[in-house]
Formats: sequence, structure tokens, C-alpha cells
Amino acid sequence: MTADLQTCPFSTGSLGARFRPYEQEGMFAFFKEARAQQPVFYNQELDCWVVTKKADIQAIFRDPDRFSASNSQSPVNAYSADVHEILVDGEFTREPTQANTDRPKHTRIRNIAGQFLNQKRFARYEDQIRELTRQQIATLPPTGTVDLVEALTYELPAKVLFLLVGVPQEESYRVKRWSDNTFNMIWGKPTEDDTIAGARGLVEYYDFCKSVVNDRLESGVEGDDYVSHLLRARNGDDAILTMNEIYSLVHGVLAAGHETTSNGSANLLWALLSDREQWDKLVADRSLIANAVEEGLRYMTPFITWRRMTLTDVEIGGVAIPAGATILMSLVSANHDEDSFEGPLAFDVERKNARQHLAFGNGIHFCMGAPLARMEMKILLEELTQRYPNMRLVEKDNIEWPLNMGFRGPVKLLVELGE
Amino acid sequence: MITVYWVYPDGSEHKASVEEGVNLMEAAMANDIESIYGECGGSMACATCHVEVDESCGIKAGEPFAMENEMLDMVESGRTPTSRLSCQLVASPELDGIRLKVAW
Repeated sequence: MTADLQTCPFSTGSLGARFRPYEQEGMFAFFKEARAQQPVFYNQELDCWVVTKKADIQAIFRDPDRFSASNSQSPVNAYSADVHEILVDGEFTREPTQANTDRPKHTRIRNIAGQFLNQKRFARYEDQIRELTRQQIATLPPTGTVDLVEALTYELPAKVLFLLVGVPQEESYRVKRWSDNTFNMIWGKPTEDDTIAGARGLVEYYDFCKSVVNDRLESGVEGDDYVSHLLRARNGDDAILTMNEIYSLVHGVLAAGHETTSNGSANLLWALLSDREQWDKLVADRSLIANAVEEGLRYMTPFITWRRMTLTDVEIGGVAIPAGATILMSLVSANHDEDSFEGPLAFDVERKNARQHLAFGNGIHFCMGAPLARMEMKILLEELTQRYPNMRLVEKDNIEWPLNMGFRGPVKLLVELGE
Repeated sequence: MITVYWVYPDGSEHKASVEEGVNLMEAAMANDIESIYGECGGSMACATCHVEVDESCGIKAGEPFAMENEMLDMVESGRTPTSRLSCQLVASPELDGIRLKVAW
């Protein structure tokens, strides 16, 4: 047993019993042990099989015939009858459209969404994204201590997304709150009271998405935005896309399209500033920034786990798993796999194969927003290293992380901006 | 086995033997060809295996398939008349000696 394993706070009992899916503390060491000792293990708390090796996870992602995506966004802790009632009464009719849909529906919708959500279209927004980033950075004081999450990484990705979707920038804070709530409801550990309040939040949020779509339909669909694109593609034909599918798509992109980037950006800044040498390398040579973004996604994966359901009896890494079982793929563990990355627990902006991570998934459900997220994070680093080259973390340790089995990013990131 | 050449923008090339039946995105990944990522695993959803077939080698790879065609319209590096997604090119005797320019 190596030194860092001894610091693992859960070092007694079987791996399945020691697994703490919601907690950051000790996670890297835990998965290191799992990859070496028992790379596929069962966890009773979530009734799931946890898969930790990159090759196994990549094979699952690439095998949609045997591994359904239908459970990937189901609430980890099932809703109570009271919560269901609120959702039904509030006409919360969100349906699976993308990440949690199987073929052929997935293919139909992905093809339409992909005509808008693609790297060529995203590239057109580069100047506007840089401008939004500069404006947000301009709100920071010239020197002193700030929380980069609050001041920068929390809201900026939402503003970028609103540009593409065609939603007023003023709504970004409200939408951030709603999507925080959505993710807590699905992947967090809310109390029943929180869940009741959260269900009302889900209804409000979905109503907002419906109104965005319906307003666009009324005011005209000629615009160069995502909602107009979906409505034009639909052209009144339910066989192409139903209105409820469009509401659901807008709901999906308005949440998934920025929360991930917020966490990814804050994680990246935390990793860079925790090891000043890495930050200084970027300040000295900005051509390293694109690779630093990949290394940040690899080392501090912003969405740490993703689910699949077995459609048939399968064998993963020599372990037999029955049909109908939940598979929990640890993306962060895949990205720390010793068989794929040399010295995986080191953060190295010059790592040659950093981009071979699975932070955006793999296969037919590969993240459609990946090129956008990459561009946003690259621009953010380009601007920040230029404006605040001497920025320092106020405190490297004692970072607060959310209690969430999916989303992972620091709640606060206090930095000294420097001169 | 067939021989495949990947050509970088600076003119340098990487030569490899590829088993028949293997698609050239997988072959590129196995050979650590820079800027070929194959992120969607060959399901034509990402275009990160885009290459330009260098027809001066005397080998043509044919026309892209319908869905591949749509993806090629979306590549940021710019489409050329011989652009293909290498996940859709499968090593066969007809492609022996093919030269693929890597798009950045």
C-alpha cells in the first residue's frame, strides 16, 4: 500500500462498501486502489456496478446495443409520491431527447441538433465569446481578493450559451439557480423538504423553457439561434420533432450547456493555481493553453460519473453483470487510468496525450457542446493569464466541493489577483 | 496488411502497416497520429478524424457517405474536395499506399 492510499479515509472493508459517490475527499486515492485491486465492483447504496478502467468504459460507451443510456439522467434517489404530484400538476413533461435516449429516437434528434451544435457554427461565435469574457473580467477589481467562481466562472458560460440559444442575458442568474436545482435533484442528496421545493423549481424552469420556445414561434423563426433552428427544422411536423421534444431540448441545453463549463473552468483554474509552475508555464507560453484545457478536463473531470443500463447479461473486466443492472462509469477514474496515462495523478499542461480523456464521453452520445466548452475555457485562460499573470490561490486546500455524484467543481475559489 | 501514410502540415509523414478490415481512424489512434482523436468512436458524430486524401498518390477513396457528407460540412478546419472522415475508410487492398493529409 502506498502512502497516499493510507491517507484514504475509507480504508477498511470492501471497495463497494467504502465507495463514497458524493464526496471529493479521498476520491482519487480510492479509485487508484480500485483500478489496481478490483476495477469493477458492486455498490449497494446505489445498487450499481462501478467501472473504473478506461478501456472498459470506452467499450461500454461504444456499445449502445447492449448498454442503454435511458437511465443516465434519472434521479439517483427516486422521487416521493408528493414530488411526483407536483411535477404532474405542474405539467413537467420533459422527455428524453439526447443523452438519455437510445436509437432510433436519439439518431433522429441528434442529426437535427447537430446541424446547429457543431464546431463550425461555434467558431462563428469566437469574437463574441471573447468580448463577453473580457466584459466579465473587466468587472473584477484591479487587485485584491475575489472568489473566481462567483465573479467569473459561475455566470459567464450561461451568458455564452444564451447568445447561442437566443435568451436575454439578464435571465442568466435565474437560469443558473434553476439548473443548480435540477442537478441537485438528479445527482445530489437532497432532503425531502429540499426535493419538494426543488420540484416546484423544476416546474418553473420547464415553464420558462416552454415560454422561450412559444415566444419565438410567435415572433418569428428566422433568427440565427438554436431555438429558431429547431422550430424551422420541425416546420410543424411532429414526425420530425414534437413541440415537447423542442421544449425538452431547450431545457437540456440551457442546463447542460453551462453548468459543465462552469465546473470545468473552475476546476482548471484550481488545478493550475494549485501548482504555480503550471500557471507560470501558460503565462510564459500561451500556445500551451489548448492542451492545458484538455489536461484540466482529464485531471479534474467536471462530470465524474455517468450511467448506463445493461440490456442483456454482460461481462465487464471478467465480472458477470445481469441484464437490467445499473452501470456507473467513473469518468474521473478512466481519466486517471495508469494504463492510459503516465503518472496520471500529476497535473501536467504539457502532457502529450491529455486529449485522450473521456470527460466528454465517447461514441454516439459524445458531448455535442465539446468544441464550445473547449473554446470557452481556452479564451478564459488566454484573457486571464494576460490580465492577471500574478494571480495566486488564497488557500490551496480546504476547498469546498458540492455533495453531488455527478457534478464536481469548487463551490468557491478565492484568489489574490496580484499586480 | 496495407501501407498507410499520414502526412502532417509541415510535410513530415508517418508510415504504418494496417490490417485489412480496420478503419483508418482506429489505425491512426493506434499509431498516435497527432490531431486524430476519433472521439465519437466512428459513429459520425464528431468529425475529429477528418483527413484529406492526397490523390497525387494515385489512390482515390471515393465519395463520402450521406451522413459523413453532412459532418464534413461542419469541420472547422475547412472541407476540401477529397475530405473524408477516416473512420469511414476501411483498410482494403485498393487503399494500399494511400496518403492521408491530417487536417489541423
